[in-house]
Amino acid sequence: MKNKEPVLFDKLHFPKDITQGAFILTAIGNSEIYIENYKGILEYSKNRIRIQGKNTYILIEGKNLTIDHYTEEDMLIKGHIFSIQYPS
Amino acid sequence: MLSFFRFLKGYYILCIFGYSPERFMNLCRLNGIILWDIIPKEEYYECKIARKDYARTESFMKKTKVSAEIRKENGLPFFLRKNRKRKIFFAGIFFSVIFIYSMSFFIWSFTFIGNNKIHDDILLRFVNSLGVEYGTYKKNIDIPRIEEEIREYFNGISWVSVRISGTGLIVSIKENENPDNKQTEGKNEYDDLICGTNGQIVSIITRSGIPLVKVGDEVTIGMVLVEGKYPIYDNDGNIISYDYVDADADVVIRTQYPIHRTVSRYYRHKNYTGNEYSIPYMRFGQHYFCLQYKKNPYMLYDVIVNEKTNALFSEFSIPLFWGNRKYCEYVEIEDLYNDKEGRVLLKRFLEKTVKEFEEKGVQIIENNVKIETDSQYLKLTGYLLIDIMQKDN
Repeated sequence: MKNKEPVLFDKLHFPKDITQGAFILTAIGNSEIYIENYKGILEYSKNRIRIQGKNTYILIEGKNLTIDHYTEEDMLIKGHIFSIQYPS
Repeated sequence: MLSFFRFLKGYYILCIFGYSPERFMNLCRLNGIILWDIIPKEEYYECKIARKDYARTESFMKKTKVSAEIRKENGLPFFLRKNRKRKIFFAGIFFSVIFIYSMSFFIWSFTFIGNNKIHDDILLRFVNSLGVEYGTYKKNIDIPRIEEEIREYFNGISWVSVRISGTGLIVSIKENENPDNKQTEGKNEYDDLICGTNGQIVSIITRSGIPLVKVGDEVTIGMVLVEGKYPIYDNDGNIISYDYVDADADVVIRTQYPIHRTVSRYYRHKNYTGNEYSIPYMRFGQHYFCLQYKKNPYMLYDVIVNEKTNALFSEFSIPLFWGNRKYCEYVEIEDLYNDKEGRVLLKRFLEKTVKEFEEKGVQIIENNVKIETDSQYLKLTGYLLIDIMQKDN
């Protein structure tokens, strides 16, 4: 039954951020990323930030990365962003 | 705006050292503590945290084995604490706020919009005569009465609106574009086109009415050029009644415009000696305070006033002005215009007259003006032959 849940939610057009706990990323050019629906920071340095989601994490690589704000709802990362990676 | 509120509440700039600052940040987030401007440095992280939230983070620091150092305290609470002994400074701020607030109850500036023919000074003098002056209490101003008085006193104003904005009284006016147009209401139901100048008709194009003159006719002031009364005939050719319209025609009248101007060769002009001094002053409303006293040693002098005001916002000014009065000494010298100077002066006058005609759309056909000179006077005599368009009354 559990394996059928995503298929069912897909059929019903439920938003994936609620049903699967997926990240919501809004990137503005290569200088800002706005992230919602995350659990916490796993790793943070000038050149890389690893962020934990519900089932997975994302890796943001860049230069002079800073966190403009970090709240329960969202976070804003600023800097020169090279890549956004999902683990395979 | 957010940074302004953060400044009001006060915040710390923290340096976070330790094994796992990320965990500390996550704990803060889960407990509703907001961190912002988190910047990773070589051996530590720098971040900002609200003053009230900082005390709550101590347990998280212990838990995550992180130590924090306050690098800087920013914001209003810290500023007030640092300067708590400067009582006069705070009293100054307090009294200036009270001063500005109390001054906002009065009128300190007048703005007139839309007046082309009536000068600002005339309007200001009239508004002042109604009891609205600099420093009038705003609640005592009867706006409908001012609007009514302006409408009644000045002819040619079709619409007036007075409003108070900030500490300024704004008078918006719409002037009649054709104030001479007579209203036909209650008078005759038609208008004739009357001649306004002596001369000869050059052309006439009638749009409505019956023309009483033709090209080549000599006309004088007051003659009816186009009549607005149509006779209606019966079958026998007798007039049974009249139909009335407003006469409308373009009538061009050629006329001579005489020019006479006499200028005396003697004139006086100011020769500035170069002696001058300035006195700085302050003005509060109508009261002047000289900041320096000096007796005026000059017999003849010009005063050049350079005044500045301080508008806090575009529509909020307080009645404090400052500037300086510069006294420049001069001596009067009697002199004579020579022929060349006199001719330049009279030519300038003639050019001005021609330009005024051109601006009015009057066509100049012939310029028959001569300059005559004698030992005492310079004279400009002659006439301009012009074509005037007589459109309507």
